[in-house]
Amino acid sequence: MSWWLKAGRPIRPPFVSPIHTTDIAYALCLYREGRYQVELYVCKANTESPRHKHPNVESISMYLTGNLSFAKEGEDFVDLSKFQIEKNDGTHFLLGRSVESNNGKEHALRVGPEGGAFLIFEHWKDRDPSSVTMHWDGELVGDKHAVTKGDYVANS
Amino acid sequence: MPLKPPFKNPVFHTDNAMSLCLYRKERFQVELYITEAGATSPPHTHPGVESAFVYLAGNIQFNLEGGANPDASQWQHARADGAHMLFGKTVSSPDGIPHWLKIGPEGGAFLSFEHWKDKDPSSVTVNWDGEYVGQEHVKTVAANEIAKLS
Repeated sequence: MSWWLKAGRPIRPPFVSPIHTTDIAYALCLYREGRYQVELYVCKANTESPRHKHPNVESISMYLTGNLSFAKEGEDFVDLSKFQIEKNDGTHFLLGRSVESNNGKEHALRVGPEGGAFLIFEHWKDRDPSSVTMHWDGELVGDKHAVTKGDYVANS
Repeated sequence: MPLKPPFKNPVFHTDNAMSLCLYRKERFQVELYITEAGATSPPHTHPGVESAFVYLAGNIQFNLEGGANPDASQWQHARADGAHMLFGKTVSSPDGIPHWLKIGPEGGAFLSFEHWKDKDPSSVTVNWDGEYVGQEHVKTVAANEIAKLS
C-alpha cells in the first residue's frame, strides 16, 4: 500500500479482467503488478454484503468517501457514524484511513444512505489476481454477482 | 492525479453504471464511471457542462452526434505494459451535442473531466437531458431533486 501511495497513486487498469460488478458494488482494478493489485469499489446506498471470505488473499481497505462500515469474523459492524464529518478541504474525515485488514478471514460490508467508495490493496498468495468479487467464498450478493462470478471457484 | 473524493454527493448510479467523483474544485470535477458489461445509454446531453472523456479500460464505444465515431473494437488490444491500447485517449463532448455509449462484454471504465458552466457540480448522471437509462436512473434523478429541495 505504501509503495502505491509513494509512487503517486498510479492509475493504470489492466487490459485483462479490469471490471467486475455485483448487485451492490462496481469494481475497477486501478493497478496490477504480479500478484498484487489495487481495486476501487464504488458501492450503492443502503446495501449490505453477506459474510464471506477471499481465501489466501491478504488485503487492506482504505476509506475514500461515503458511509461504510466493516465487520470482522465473529464481530459486529464497527460503528463509524461518529466519523461522518466533512473536513475543511471538503473531503470525508476518514479519507485515506485504513479501515480493515484481512487475511482470508470472514468479513462483511454495510453501506449507508450516501453510498460509498474504498480501495482494497490485495496480495494474492497462491494465484494471479482477478477480483475479490470473483474470488469469493460464501453467499453471493445477488443475481448479478452470480452472473459475474460464473463458475469461478474460490477454493480451487 | 489527486484522489480526493468529496464528502458531498460523491456516488451516483443508474441501471448499468456507477460514478464516483474523484476530485471536485469549484465548478470543475473529475468523475470515474464504471459500467456493466453490455451496457448502453440513449443519446443525451448534460446541459451547461463541457466534458472530456478519458478511456481507462474495458470495451467502450463513445458516440457523438455528427462525429466520426470509429468502431472501437479494432483497438481491443493490450499494450506492452498490460494496459488497454486506448488507455489515456481522450474524446471531447461539447455542451449541447448529444452523445451515447455502447459497452462490450468486458464492461468499461472512463474518466469524465467536467466544467459546470452555470451551477455547482453534482454528477452528469443527474444533470441529464434525454431518455433515461432505466428505472434506477429515474429514481436517482428524483432523489437528487428531492435532496436539492431539503
